[in-house]
Amino acid sequence: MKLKNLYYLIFASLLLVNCESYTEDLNNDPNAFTVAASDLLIGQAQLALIQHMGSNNARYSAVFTNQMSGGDRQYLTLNTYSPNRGNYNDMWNDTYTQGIKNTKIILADESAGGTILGIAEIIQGTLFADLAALYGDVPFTEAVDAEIINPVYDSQSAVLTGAIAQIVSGISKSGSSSIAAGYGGNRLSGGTWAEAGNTLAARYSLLSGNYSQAISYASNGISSTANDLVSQHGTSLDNRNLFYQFAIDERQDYLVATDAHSVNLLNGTTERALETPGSSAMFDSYFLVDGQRVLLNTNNGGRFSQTSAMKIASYVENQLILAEAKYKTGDESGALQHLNNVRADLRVQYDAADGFPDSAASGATLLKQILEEKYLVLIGELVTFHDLRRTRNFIGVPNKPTGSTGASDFPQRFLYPQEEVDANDNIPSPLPEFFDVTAAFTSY
Amino acid sequence: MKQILTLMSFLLCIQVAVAQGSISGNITDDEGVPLPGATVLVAGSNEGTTSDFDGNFSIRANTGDVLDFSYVGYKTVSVQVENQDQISVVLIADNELEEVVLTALGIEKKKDDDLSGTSVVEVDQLQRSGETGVLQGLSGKASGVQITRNSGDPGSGAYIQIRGQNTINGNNSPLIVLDGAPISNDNIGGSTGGVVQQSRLNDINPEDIESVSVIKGAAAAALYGTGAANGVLVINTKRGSKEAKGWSFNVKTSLSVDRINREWDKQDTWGQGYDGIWYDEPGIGYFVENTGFSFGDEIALRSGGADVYDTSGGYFETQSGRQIGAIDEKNSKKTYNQENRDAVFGDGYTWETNASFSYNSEGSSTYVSISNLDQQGIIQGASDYTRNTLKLNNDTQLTDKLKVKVSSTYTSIDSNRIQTGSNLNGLYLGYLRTSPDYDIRDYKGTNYRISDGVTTVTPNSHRSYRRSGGSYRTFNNETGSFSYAAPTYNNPLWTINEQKSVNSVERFSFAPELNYDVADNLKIVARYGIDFYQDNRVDYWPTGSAGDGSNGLWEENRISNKINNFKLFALGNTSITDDISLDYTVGYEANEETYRRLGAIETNFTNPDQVFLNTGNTTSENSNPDSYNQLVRKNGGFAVLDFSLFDDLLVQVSGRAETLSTLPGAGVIFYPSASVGYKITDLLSSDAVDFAKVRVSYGEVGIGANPYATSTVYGPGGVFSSWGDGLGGYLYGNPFTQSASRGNPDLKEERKKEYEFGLDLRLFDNAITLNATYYQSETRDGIIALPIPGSSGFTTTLQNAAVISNKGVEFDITGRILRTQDFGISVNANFTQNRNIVEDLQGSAYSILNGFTSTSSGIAEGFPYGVLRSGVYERDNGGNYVLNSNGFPNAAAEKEVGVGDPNANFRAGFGLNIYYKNLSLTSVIETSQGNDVWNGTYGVLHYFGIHENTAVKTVNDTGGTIVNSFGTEIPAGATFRGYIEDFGGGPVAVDSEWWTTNGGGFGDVGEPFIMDGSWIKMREVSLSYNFTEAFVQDLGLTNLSLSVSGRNLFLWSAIDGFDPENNLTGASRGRGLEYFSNPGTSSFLTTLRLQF
Repeated sequence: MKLKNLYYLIFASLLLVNCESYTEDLNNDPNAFTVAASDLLIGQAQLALIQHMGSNNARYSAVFTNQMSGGDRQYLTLNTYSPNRGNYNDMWNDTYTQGIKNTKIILADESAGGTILGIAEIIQGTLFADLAALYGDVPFTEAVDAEIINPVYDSQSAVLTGAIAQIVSGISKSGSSSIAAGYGGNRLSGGTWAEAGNTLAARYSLLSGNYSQAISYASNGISSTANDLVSQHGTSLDNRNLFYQFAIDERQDYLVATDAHSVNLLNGTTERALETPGSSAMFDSYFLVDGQRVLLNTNNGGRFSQTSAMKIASYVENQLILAEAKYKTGDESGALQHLNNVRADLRVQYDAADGFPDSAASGATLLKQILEEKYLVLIGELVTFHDLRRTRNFIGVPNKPTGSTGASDFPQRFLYPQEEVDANDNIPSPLPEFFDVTAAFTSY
Repeated sequence: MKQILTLMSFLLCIQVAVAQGSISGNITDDEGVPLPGATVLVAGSNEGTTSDFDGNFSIRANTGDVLDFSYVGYKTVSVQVENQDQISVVLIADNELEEVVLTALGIEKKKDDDLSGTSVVEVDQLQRSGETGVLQGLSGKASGVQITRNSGDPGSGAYIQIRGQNTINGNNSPLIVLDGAPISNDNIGGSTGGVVQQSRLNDINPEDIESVSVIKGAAAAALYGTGAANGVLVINTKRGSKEAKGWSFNVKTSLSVDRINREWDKQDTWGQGYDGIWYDEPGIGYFVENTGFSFGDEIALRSGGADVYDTSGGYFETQSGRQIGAIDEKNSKKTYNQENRDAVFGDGYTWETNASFSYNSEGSSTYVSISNLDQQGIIQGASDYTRNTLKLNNDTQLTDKLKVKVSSTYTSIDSNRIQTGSNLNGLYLGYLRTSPDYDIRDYKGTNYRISDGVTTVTPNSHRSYRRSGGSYRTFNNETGSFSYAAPTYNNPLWTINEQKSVNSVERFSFAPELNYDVADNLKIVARYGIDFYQDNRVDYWPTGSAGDGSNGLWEENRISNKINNFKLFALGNTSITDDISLDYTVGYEANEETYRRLGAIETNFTNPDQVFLNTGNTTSENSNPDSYNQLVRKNGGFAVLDFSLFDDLLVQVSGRAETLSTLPGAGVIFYPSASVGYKITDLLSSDAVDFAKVRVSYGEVGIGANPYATSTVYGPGGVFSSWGDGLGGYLYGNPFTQSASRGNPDLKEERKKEYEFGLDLRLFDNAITLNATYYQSETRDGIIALPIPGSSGFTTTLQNAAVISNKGVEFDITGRILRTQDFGISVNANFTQNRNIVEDLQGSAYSILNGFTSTSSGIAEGFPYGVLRSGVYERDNGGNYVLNSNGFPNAAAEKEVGVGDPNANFRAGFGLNIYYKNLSLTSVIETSQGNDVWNGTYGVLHYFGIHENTAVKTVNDTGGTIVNSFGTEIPAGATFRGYIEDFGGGPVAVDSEWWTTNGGGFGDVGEPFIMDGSWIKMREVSLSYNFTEAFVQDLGLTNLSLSVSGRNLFLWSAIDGFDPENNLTGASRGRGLEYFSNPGTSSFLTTLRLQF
């Protein structure tokens, strides 16, 4: 063996190295797609909307607002208003990456039609507005931009304004398309996107303190309970009502209503601002008594049964937006009318002719009746948490640990999630704390 | 030959007598001590024998034959037979110990010439450990190697780490090379719940192993390039008989009895129920049925007698016909901790039988083995592991130049696994939380539910402490399906008897090799290897199971993996000058790995009244198929050049150039390495030093990206919260979504660069050996799914962003204290210290590896790999707690990185071997010091009032009123369940209010549950007896030994309740987490070995 032979061998093996073709073109994922039409993406944005309004966010809100109670394990700590940034990672991330992102992809689709663009814009505006309501300043103008890793935070008021404009723009594009025909599929049902969009625009206008604008949108809002924008559910493991899934399938005993203010109002322990014999029927619809405990009514026929729809925007909310906004703009008779519209609806809903008598109140009593009515008819809806803070606890909800009824005795915001704190250089500094009031909700 | 003949003249004592025929003689060492069992072979024939106990032998030989005398650790001597009938030989201990290591290609190399810190694991030690898995058997046997057990479940896997963690995204197992071909050591699964997974390396029968070398350094592994960053484990199996007679037949049989090695103690003084303080009545409690809490009444104060039931709303009928209704009056003082424990746990048994036959003939050698391992776990239900293996190795010299080697193995495994961890169906979760006054034994029966006067019957009802009436069902006429109300947690007996997690593995590997001798100094080797396994897993949760299984759940996964490997290389040597010689290896390797998984999940059983282990028991919308396919290839060339200069200076350079399918943008990747060793024995010129070598090396190795990481993709959507509730896209029109992880077409390989310095010494006639290594490595461009703000539209982006450094020292020391014919003592020790730091993460604060939102193991800039992050109490600038109005600490909103470090400060092993005549005693002690663990179980047992710490009654002797964390007042002199503590604002009452909020396991603060998990273990102690030759021969055997061993018999650790060597998340990257994981075991083992 001469050295020459060795060189041959080295040469030969280097030649073999160039077998690049052996490893080429194998890295295209056979398990995933690289394209998806807008018509397919809109459904995911809708699921993200349902989740934002009805999953963790709604449960935390229900506990913070004393509509429900933490009953077991981590939820007992939640019940003490202990701050924990880790709690907010999942919903924040899903709202941005599953909700807002898919709507942005649709809005950038040049071949997309007006209806889908409008729906995408309504959903995107709603999610942005609700994030701002929950967290205060949030990424908006730079959010979900492929070029930007660390989006800046826009002020809460700017986001609300911009988001409402998106919803309004969306309404104009989606026209009179019904929810069912407008990609609602088996996810969403209701009247038209325009109706729902107007109620949502009214909700966030009210949150911005712009009462006249709220009246204007709500006037074109959801016109009947039958037209409520709601989620649809089934009996399979992964399409049940989200409260049911949480309370029965995933985390039994975590979320209850024992000692909750809503329970006390409905069972007569605490006197209601507006006398309501039908409270017990409402109680039975929402809750179940189990010994010393009060549970969510997850039975068939209950509000939180497997197949119960979850409301995203509703006729009763729309009426109570009008009632409050008109009250705040000096139109007490108008306000009373809208409150009584809700009472009329409840009489039908609970089939109780005498259960929900009309109100004849005026002044602060009327306002309290309106807000308390809203607190009860929207049990389990995220907007209650916004209202409690926005109205500076006008209706005097006692806080969980001490029972005090001050305006600031409740968490004033969701905490910026731990993962956002970890990664985004542009997050506000110093970080606002749990009981720091957001700019939009400082006074009422 | 000339040298040997010269030597012979010194050593041989030749007595001339008659001509050819029988030759006898005696073999001793240089001190005249007889050497029993030394081998005498007639060179070039099958004729051979071994010396007896007194060193005597007798053999037939012809004049002119050459007799080879050999004995382990001594120089072989050859003597030509002339006319003598007596030959006595003195063998001299071999200063150049013929200890060999395996190179990365599986080729033997003298350890004295090795330039890396490669450790050789003594195979007899590995086999003596009696561990059913090779991985566990490696524990404590070599420095630099860390083995962490998944649990004591039968067949459970283990995590192996060599010189710290180097990669975040890539495979974290060392490369495993079996008989020259890479094989899989997959650990599929390994999360906070599910079942304890296996490690595929444990499919190998330990008895088949001939040698194991652990290649730790980058330089030594560099010829494997990508994939070798975590080191290489090179395993060769047995290939033929070493017996002089040309064949041997070995039988081994062993029985092991396993027990739990550490258990939680549960309080047994307070019953199920609520604390009186929740109603402003401290010091008492109320019995409440079906609650999770054990803050109820004091059991001793009950009236005694039987409980009184109310059956008006229905009842649970046990299998023996007893009716259990709702408890109206709780009278019984009976507690059931012991009965419940004995119903779940008992002795486990492992039977192992091995038979192997090896044969040598001219030009061919063969090894065949068959083994059966049958392990019944300590859990008295469906917890077992059966492994059957078949092995055939054959080497055949076809022509003078051509040799064929074939290595083949077949393994078949059947196993029943038990749900563990953070899992409503987990064994320990339901078992430990059960109240002390609850009898779990009637766990299954029939539920009779009376509602509005109508009785509904539910067969196979599942009864547990949080649903004592048992699960029941209603039929929904609208949908035509059953809906079950199930217990919050499983009864542990339901978990182990009714739920099924069955796993079966079929595996074969086949590795043929051709060796062609081109010339005396050049050989070409072509080697192919295929390693294939299919792992079938099914999970069956009958209706009435907790959580997602309440309406029944079936999951099936069929996983297969195939590794195809081809190598072609040339081995040769040449002399460049008289003083410089060169050994070289040049070659090409192509590798392909194909992974496929096909699975299905079904929920909502249509017909729940029969155990049905198949798909098809639900409607189509509740049946979901799911599959995943993956193909990865790489190929490249490599060269290793070993120069030997002036005998004492060794220089090695190697390189590998390759392309990877997973990194299309990276082009041809090149990994260089260089090592230099200098034998300084002569320089030292000390009689005490038999051998000394210093070595230094530098090497680069890499890790590729996971496949398909280069593109951003779309797939079917769906949304789920971190609590598990969600909307499955498949039920909602299958909408699509863009992945939350952003792909990166520019990814390149992770590259680990390592420097290593070493010293190898043998002193005092080889009585002491020392191998010491210092290494320093840095992985740059570590690929990570870098967390980015969700508000950007993605939660992670794949980047070459991480820099991870490891540095450490390793020592392996052996010492022969005494060695005489009848008695000897030797010791060995190893010590490892590794410091790991994640140097850079491009600004991202933290990335989770595994664990929970509340406490997790992850990576963060400036912290060691796997660092623990958890919620902490809020503190002021002076480090004092920020207290709330009740005097208790507040939780800080932000989680803190670095509350614990799961990495050990150091690890060490110590072995002692003593023999006296035919009796030998060996023991191994192993320790890990300074490793932290998050003891989640401890915190949660406080929450439920189960931990013994919560069973304390205290009188408020502060002289004033104190409050608990809710603000409830406890007047002076009053008694309460809990204790007094001062967090800095004066004495307060720590009680159920604190344990159920931020002072317990479900609070926002994990800080109090992070503990020092240091441990010392008596890993093994083993006593063996080799029966005397006379006795053995009478039985027609060549060898017979019996040994009794204990494994993990003693554990010293400050940790309460569990074996800190276990890890909840198994062989995953997340370390230092404990949460209701299945317990570890200790074992007694009896082994009988026979050789014919």
